[in-house]
Amino acid sequence: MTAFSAIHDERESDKDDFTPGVEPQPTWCPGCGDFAVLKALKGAMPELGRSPEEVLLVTGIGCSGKLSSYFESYGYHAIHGRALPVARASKLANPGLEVVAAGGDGDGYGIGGNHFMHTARENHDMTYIVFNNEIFGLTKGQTSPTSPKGHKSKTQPSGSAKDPVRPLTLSLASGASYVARTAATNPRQAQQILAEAIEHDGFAHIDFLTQCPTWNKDAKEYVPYTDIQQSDEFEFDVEDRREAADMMYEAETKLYEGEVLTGRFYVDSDRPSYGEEKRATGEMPEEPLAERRAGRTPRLGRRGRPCAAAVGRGEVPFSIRKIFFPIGQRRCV
Amino acid sequence: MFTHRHYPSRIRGGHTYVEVRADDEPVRSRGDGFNFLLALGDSFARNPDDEAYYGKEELKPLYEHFDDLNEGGVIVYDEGLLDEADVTETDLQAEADENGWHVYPMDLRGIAREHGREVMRNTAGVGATAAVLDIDTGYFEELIRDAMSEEVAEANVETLEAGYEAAREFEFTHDLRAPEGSHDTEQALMGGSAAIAYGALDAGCRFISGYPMTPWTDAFTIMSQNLPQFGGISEQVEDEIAAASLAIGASHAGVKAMSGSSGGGFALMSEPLGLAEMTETPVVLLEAMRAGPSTGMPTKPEQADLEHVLYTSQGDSCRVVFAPANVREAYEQTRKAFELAYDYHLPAIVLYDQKLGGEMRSVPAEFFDREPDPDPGAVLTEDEIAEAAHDNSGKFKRYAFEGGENGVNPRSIPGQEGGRFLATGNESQEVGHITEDPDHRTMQMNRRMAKLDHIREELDDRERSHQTYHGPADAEHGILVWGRRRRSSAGSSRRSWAALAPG
Repeated sequence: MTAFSAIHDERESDKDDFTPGVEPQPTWCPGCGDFAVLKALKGAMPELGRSPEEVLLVTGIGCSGKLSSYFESYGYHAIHGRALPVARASKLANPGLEVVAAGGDGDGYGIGGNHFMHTARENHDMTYIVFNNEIFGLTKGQTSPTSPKGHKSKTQPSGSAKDPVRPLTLSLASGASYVARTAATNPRQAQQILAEAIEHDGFAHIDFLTQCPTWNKDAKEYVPYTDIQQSDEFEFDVEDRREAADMMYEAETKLYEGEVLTGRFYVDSDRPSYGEEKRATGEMPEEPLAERRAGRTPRLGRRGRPCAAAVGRGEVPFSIRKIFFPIGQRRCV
Repeated sequence: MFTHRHYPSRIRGGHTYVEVRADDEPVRSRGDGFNFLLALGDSFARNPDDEAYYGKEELKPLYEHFDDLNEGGVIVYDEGLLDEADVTETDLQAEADENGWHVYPMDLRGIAREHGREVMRNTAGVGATAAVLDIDTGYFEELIRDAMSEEVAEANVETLEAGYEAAREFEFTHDLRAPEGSHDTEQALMGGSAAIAYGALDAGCRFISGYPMTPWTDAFTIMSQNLPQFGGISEQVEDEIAAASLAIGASHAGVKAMSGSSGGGFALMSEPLGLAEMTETPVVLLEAMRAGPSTGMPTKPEQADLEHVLYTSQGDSCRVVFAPANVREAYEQTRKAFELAYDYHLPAIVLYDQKLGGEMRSVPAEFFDREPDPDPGAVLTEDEIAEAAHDNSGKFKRYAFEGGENGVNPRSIPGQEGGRFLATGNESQEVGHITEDPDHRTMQMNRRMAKLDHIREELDDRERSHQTYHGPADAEHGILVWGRRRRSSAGSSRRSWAALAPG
């Protein structure tokens, strides 16, 4: 019997199930793109038949980090840049959980860049939504890793001398098996892509363009946008790594020229997720680790004693004595 | 039996040695000086230049230990490797005459080449040691056969016997013999890192995440090699911030989890450590101290990180720190760390050093004959959650202002029906929503910090406390120590009061 009856629960849900009661109401500014992420997530979860208590939403710090406050599920509002390591361990501990991580462009591509690279490399079965507004919003308008070159801000008053991060290219190079970009101005596509990403078995990264009307007035509202899957102008194979790389480079360049290209950029459905890969090496249990805590396993050991604790099921497949007790009873010298 | 290992912080070469102290009475520290020296010499990293700082390293096993070799001591050195001219330069003969040392030069390299391979010089040296100290080579043979493949073992056993026989050719002039005695019970030879790992496994730990760093790597390695056999998971990750964060994530999802590092890596864990305190996520962290600051001396022990682990991370500390003094305590206190972390929902740290981690000691095997502890600590079942307080949107009051037993609010685990809540590094209301209300802040701070009072009460129990003193209760002066230094301090204070005692 499972200790987690919310997992794989067959009950139907709707977006209201993912909405908190009277409070808290989102405190994002009017016109903020973050609302669109919340809406898309609330729409995608019931579409996939998920219920609030089988979802763990792990967020970082920033305006984006507040998502876990306004979305009704298990939540973990971690520290700046560290949503991914918390999230991926939870998934390893209990693969039955639907794990979604979210943060901003500073959180994911700046301070948490190392975790982003490695979580993508390992292809953990989870979804990562990056609210990309090309600015630090919560700290009131400093240049972010995705701010365009020349962008003037309080901390770079003469304009940024840095080229922005190319998040899609970075993601592909790191090893993400699903890479997409959507925009707050395109709610239908956003929900579709989010649902696909959540269903995807592997690390799904969504660069979600969320305009900041307060601190990044220069930035476009991400309109007009072009869906690269719908447009005749772009013909490329989303499963081909090289073609995807070219498409990403073009989209990243054009964003700063005022053309917003959105859609799926890379999809690799064949690559096994990290959990599967690790299980294949024999270093990940078949049964969710989190389930084990419910059972108090009897003390097992070869030849009686001494033995280590709770060894799951069946015989201890090795002699712990050999590792910990290299010397048996013999004359003391 | 008590051992100490010394190795330089270098890729290859340098003077590496192991001390073994054995007696028919219990031994608790390295002690002062030694009686027998087997000097194998260094087979590489020589610098022929006379001006070279590191110089003739192959001679270090000899002259580095002159100060510590007791009067009447015995030296066996490999004359196959150390040139006679070089040895003469160290004034070995003059030193030996002055101190009454007995010196037996042997061509260990030649013996190894003849019976096995040159790399087996050490086995030839062990054979010679057995002859000089009158130890039955059968013990060593058993160990060799246990550790090596048949072919390699055969060559080693042959080399062992040859070394033994070659040493027997000398007319021994020394009186030193290995002490004889026997234990009533089976003994385990175990180091602190293994004891910590063993304690963690017995405490039900099934998840470890880490990044390699000397000397913490030992414990991480032992856990990584063993956890899969227990159905657990080990993750080597990109850095120590991730390492501690993963342990927190696994623990949040309902698994007993740990991470750890040495000083420099532990510095990176400051941030997640504070997160665990604020979100009240149980986690156990190890800190294997080495000489600092910064990179310092990676393979050398130092005990300068106590304040670091007590206070690192912003705000008030809400954690428990254990500093075991020996192998037994390393096992027991690691178990206790898990117990407190999971019962009280806070981080618990086990602070030790390179010395305790690596020293091998004989401990009665029955000491480890304990019941395992798979108890997940203060966690609710789904039935209990259904009875617990929720807010109007159905969120579970994980952080209820009024703490439960011992100030602790039992937690729910993601995936449990009815248990959803928000864990946050911000100050929070009862269900986890962010708050800056002064009353909320006061109530939550008081509740979290009150857990420490309960823990103090629990640890202050004379039966369970590890605080202890040696010597007369009315002593005028005392030495206050913590952690691993207790044993050597106890030894020296015993000598001090013996010296000061009237008559």
